[in-house]
Amino acid sequence: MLQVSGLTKTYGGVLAVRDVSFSAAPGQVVGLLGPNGSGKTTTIRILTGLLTPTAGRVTWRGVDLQPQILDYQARLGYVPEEPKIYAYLTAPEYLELVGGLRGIARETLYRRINRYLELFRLDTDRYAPLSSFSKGMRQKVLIAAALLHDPEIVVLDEPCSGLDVASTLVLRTLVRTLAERGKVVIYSSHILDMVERVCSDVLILHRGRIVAHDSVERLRALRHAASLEEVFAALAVDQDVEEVAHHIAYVAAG
Amino acid sequence: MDAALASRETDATQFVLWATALVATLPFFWTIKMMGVYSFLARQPEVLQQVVIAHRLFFVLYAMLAAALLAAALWDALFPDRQDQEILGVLPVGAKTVAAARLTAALAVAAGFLAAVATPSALMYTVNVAAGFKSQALVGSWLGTLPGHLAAMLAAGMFTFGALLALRGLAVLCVGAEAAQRAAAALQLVTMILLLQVFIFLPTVVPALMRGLADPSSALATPPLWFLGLFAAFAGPPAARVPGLAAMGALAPAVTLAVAALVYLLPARLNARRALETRTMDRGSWSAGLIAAVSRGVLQAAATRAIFAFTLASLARSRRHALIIATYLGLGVAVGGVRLVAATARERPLGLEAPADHLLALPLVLTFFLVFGLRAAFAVPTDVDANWTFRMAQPSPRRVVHAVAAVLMLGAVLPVTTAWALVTTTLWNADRAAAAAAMHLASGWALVELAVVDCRAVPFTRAHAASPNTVRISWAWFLLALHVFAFRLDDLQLAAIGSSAGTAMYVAGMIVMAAAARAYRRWRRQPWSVHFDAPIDAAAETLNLSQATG
Repeated sequence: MLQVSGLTKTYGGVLAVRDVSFSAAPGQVVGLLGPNGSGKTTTIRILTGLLTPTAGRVTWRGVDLQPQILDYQARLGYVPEEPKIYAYLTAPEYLELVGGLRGIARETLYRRINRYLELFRLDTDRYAPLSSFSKGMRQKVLIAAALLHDPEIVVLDEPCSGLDVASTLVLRTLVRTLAERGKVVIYSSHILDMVERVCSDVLILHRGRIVAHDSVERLRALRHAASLEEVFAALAVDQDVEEVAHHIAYVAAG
Repeated sequence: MDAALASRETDATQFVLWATALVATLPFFWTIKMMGVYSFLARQPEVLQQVVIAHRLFFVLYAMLAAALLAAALWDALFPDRQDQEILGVLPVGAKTVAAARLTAALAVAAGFLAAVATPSALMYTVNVAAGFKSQALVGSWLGTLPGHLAAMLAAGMFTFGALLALRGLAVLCVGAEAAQRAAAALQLVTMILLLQVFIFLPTVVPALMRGLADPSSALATPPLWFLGLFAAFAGPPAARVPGLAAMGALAPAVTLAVAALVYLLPARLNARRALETRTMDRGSWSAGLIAAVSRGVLQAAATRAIFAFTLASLARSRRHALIIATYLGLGVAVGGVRLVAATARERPLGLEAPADHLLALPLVLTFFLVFGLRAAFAVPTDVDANWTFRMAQPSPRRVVHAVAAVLMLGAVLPVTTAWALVTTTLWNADRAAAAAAMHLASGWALVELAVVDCRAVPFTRAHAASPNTVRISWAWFLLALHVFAFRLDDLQLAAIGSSAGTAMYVAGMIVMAAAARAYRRWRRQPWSVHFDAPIDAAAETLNLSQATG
């Protein structure tokens, strides 16, 4: 069980995340939603151990993260929002780097890499540098890198970014399958339709705070909304979208 | 600049200022050093005239070398890349307009750089000439010296800059972008190494050029002499003017710049299209396979192997880091060459048939500069934003050090040892050649173990401190280490090479030193973890993932 209690993060006086608490059990897919600047990415970076909280704690199996951070990160797979990758490496080289750093045995590593490249349809580009890959291709490499060591916890930050329709459908089923295999999945995305289909629980952040935390069905029922989009718009969107869109369209005309 | 030497984390302004100041320093201090020489030589007019010509030639050659250095760093930036075309290609701006803008910017940078390099020495040299006013007929008019100095250095530099740009552009037209890119990368490295040799051996080049003045037809075919003529056209004295040289000096830059303009502007649309349509395929195939094979064969631990392969791949594919290493290699060749030249002056002819300290020092010097060149390159990140891969995996410090040591052995010690073994096999008998190679291998290993004592970071992953910290190097320690490693160990090797017992003792001594360094490292290591952030410095601007906002 991944438990987050009273998580707070401040950057130079600016409160990015304020008193966020939730839990994620094996087999659950917890969705993380929020507009830009809501503290979503900060929360994710704390969950992955890349940032340390100003206050609050994150525990894994009842034990605080920081004393066991190496052990925790060894069980974690992370797909970041921005595909920041060593672009001069080829896909197999990057996956070998990640797998080697995680101590995967050589033969096992090569077998897994070849299989991932085949399944993601990247095997014809195995000798091309990542700099020549499209955004979607790089995203596939990052997903493969995150799953290479069969992690117990999978954190996905905008994993569909750049993926084509077929790959997005594959990812949707992949997330469900990972949960069925007993993994803890944290899924952050702006694509509400996708979140609605794959997540068992949803957390909506707004200005660093949780404004909603429940299952999708309960949230829709509570807000009398037909979709998660309506729930999100009611809780986390400050502006009149129709008016803003209209003004944008006419800026250059006037 | 980002394409060549500096990473995007560097403060560009500071980098440019520091680099320009560095290049301007040598001629300026050289001019101070020769203060009073003209007054001193006033009673020897023949000598004085030769000295004046030699000094002016030095400034001309220096400007040409500085411009060549700049061209090697900048020439890739003149061609559009995929990202440029994806942004600019959709805008209503012609390809020729963009190419013209790039070329104009490059020329402006070159002119500014050369002016900055030339001005301090021009001012100081004018003072020198004014101080030698009693011999004005021989040293020239001080009123004309300042414009002459500036004009000669600027014209020489712009001529060289334009010529190299034109050559690079022609290469792309003739052999295609990919082949030209590879040739340019090799040319860039070779240029860097050669430039350093010419810098160091400039005093021997100048007299050779001066001999060309005796033959007008030969002089007209020697570019540095054109600009000497231009210098003399402003500053005099009349005896130094050779017909036609000044005109060539004035025309040559215009011609090369015009050719460069044509070479870049005419095929601008073709180059732009190529940038988008050419896909970089299979560039990694041969190096990826080789790197994988080497890492599999050399190292067992998975994490060590991963870091080792990553380091090799980064070195093989980063032009920026290759230039850093080429610079150190060039310095090594120059320092070793100076030692040989000095030995030649003592013993004519230079004896190669028996071991001598100046011969044994050569591989030691090369290895020293390669090891520290690699260490310098490791400190410059390839992509700081991507180092989250290592932050997540947190490799153990022991694995990092093993990987770095393996790269240093493979990249510096083994190639030099192999080359040295081949050379000594042809020069000496097999026993001596084997002894020399064994001693050098042991020395290299000891140096590597000492060099990784303070290793704290995975190569290329650490946020890089701003340029003041970059330029600040512990020169004193570096020179001391070089002196001890290259110029004291050669004496020990010379004493040891005569007998197998001596060789064995030397090798054993180096092994003990390596083991001691390793033991010290292990004792010092606890507790520390691998570093990813830049050293703490109030003046530093760094990218630090742990402080990044969400």
